[in-house]
Amino acid sequence: MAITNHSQLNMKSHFAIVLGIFVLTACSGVDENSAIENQKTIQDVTNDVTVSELNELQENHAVMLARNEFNLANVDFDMIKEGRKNVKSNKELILLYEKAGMTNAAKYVQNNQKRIDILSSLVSKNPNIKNLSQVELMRMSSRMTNLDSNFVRKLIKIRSVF
Amino acid sequence: MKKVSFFVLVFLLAFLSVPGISQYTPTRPPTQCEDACLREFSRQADGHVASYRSALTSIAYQAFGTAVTAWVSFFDAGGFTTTGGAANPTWGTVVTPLLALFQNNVYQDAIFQADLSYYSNIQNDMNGLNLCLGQCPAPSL
Repeated sequence: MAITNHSQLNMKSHFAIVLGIFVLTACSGVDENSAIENQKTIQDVTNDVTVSELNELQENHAVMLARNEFNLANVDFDMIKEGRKNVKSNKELILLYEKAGMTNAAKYVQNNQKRIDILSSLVSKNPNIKNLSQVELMRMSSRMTNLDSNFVRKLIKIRSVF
Repeated sequence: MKKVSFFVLVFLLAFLSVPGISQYTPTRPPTQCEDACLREFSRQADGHVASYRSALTSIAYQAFGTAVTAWVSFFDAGGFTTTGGAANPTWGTVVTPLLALFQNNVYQDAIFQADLSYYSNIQNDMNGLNLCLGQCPAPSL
């Protein structure tokens, strides 16, 4: 009797294990498909022609900042903080920045708007972005800028007299 | 022979007139002291450029993450419809204003903050480099 119960228990255990393996396999199959699809989305986004445009834009912008072309040292930040609440368009933002002492404010806002537009267009072109995990999103986002040690060497060239 | 000289001259003029080349061509190698200053500047600036890069990555992450929020809002509102209107919102009526609002307010401010921090750090680095170079003895000719 005890042997029969034991074998029944064994059969139940085996069934549970087989069921478990089936469920795991089925789930991993789905995960694998979505992982491949997500990988493709990341590739599509990072290989998009506008990403290199974004990188170039960001690098030029960073050089302009380093050259003090926007006069940020003399900008009244309290005025910007206070005035920002009433700004509803880029035109108003440019006027506010100019009033606060920024030079080339139109160029500054235009540069940033271009960066924003490129990111938005990537989102529109790749709706599968919504399925990416936070880790995948972070990995993809880190490829949206190429500022690195090479950029510092360029900064030295800008400053350097040697 | 004259033709060849003419082309060489044209090529040289074109080469020197490209901005950046004539401007950045080294005139002499840095001295040991100047080299030490440049190394210290590189070390400092590397860290600050890396911080700026992180901030820009974070902004891109927010942009992509907001797409998720926008899509959720969109589907919560009823998904795709053909008629539109307040009762039947479409992609254009729900998501576009959301993204536009996000772009103009949050992005511009986030980029401004990132730029400001980067600018201030790099200016400090540049000032440090100038001070350091100023203390180096004049190179012997």
